[in-house]
Amino acid sequence: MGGVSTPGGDGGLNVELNLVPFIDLLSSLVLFLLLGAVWVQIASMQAAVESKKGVRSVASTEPPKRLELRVTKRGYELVWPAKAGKLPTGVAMKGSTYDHDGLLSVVSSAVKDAKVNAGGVSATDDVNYGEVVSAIDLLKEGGLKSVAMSTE
Amino acid sequence: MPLKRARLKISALSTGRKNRSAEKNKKVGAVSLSLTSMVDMFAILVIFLLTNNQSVEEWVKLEHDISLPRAKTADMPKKAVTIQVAADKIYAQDSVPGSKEAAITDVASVTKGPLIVESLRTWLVKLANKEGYVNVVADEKVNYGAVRRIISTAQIAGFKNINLAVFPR
Repeated sequence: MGGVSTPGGDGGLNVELNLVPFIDLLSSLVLFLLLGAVWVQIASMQAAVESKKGVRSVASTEPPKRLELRVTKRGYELVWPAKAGKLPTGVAMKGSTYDHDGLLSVVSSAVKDAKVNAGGVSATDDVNYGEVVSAIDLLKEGGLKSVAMSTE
Repeated sequence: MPLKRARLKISALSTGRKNRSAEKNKKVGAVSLSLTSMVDMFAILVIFLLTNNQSVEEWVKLEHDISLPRAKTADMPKKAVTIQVAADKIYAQDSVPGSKEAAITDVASVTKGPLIVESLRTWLVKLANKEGYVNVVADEKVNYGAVRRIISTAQIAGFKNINLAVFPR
């Protein structure tokens, strides 16, 4: 138990505080908070969006070296800026899955060698939304500073 | 002779045991358990849980069996209007606490329809509290065509900043 005592005569202070109910209260509070806490972690990815009419959510001038990536059912199609040199124009699928590692290595080398600094991602309607998000993520991971999503 | 020696040994053992138990009885005193450190620990735990319990769930609803895509480059989601795109239906909810979720339309009709989803645009335009942000909580298996139309509609309705909800990888 927690107690406070002072040496002295008979009139000395000797208070004994019962901590057991206090511990009960705290432990039930801890249990309540642990059970009520949300353990699902949700994050978000801000996507600059471009449309045909030129609506652009993040104001910026057109970057000089911009990669255009199109996600299709056959894989990734890449359109490089002029003077970017000889770079692959597509990353084919690996069986039935998209070649994420292949795209990442192509983009990383383009950022390093050809100084590509921006990207735009578009996709066909039949592609899964998850693959478009993965493509945006891979372009950002590859080193592109600004990546926009096209809705045209 | 060997029998005698054994008897002696047993008796010596029993007297030794008696002596030890007597010593033990003498040493037993009042044992007091210090609970102060335990209370401290609980208090710290409660404070930690209270301060870190800012639920993102309040801002970004994740219901209707939506499986979010995963991404490495992700930030904390903003408090904003949330549009949920489940496998079959589209739901929208204002960022005001306690606001009700509205079922807007079917995903199939959006995918085949025009670029602007009229029912969603009407709902978004009616919102008084426009922060300019929309959290798009879409299932990873939904066709991009549907999500593209929803994003276009949000932009036309005045929501220029789109946050795509993901699970951090």
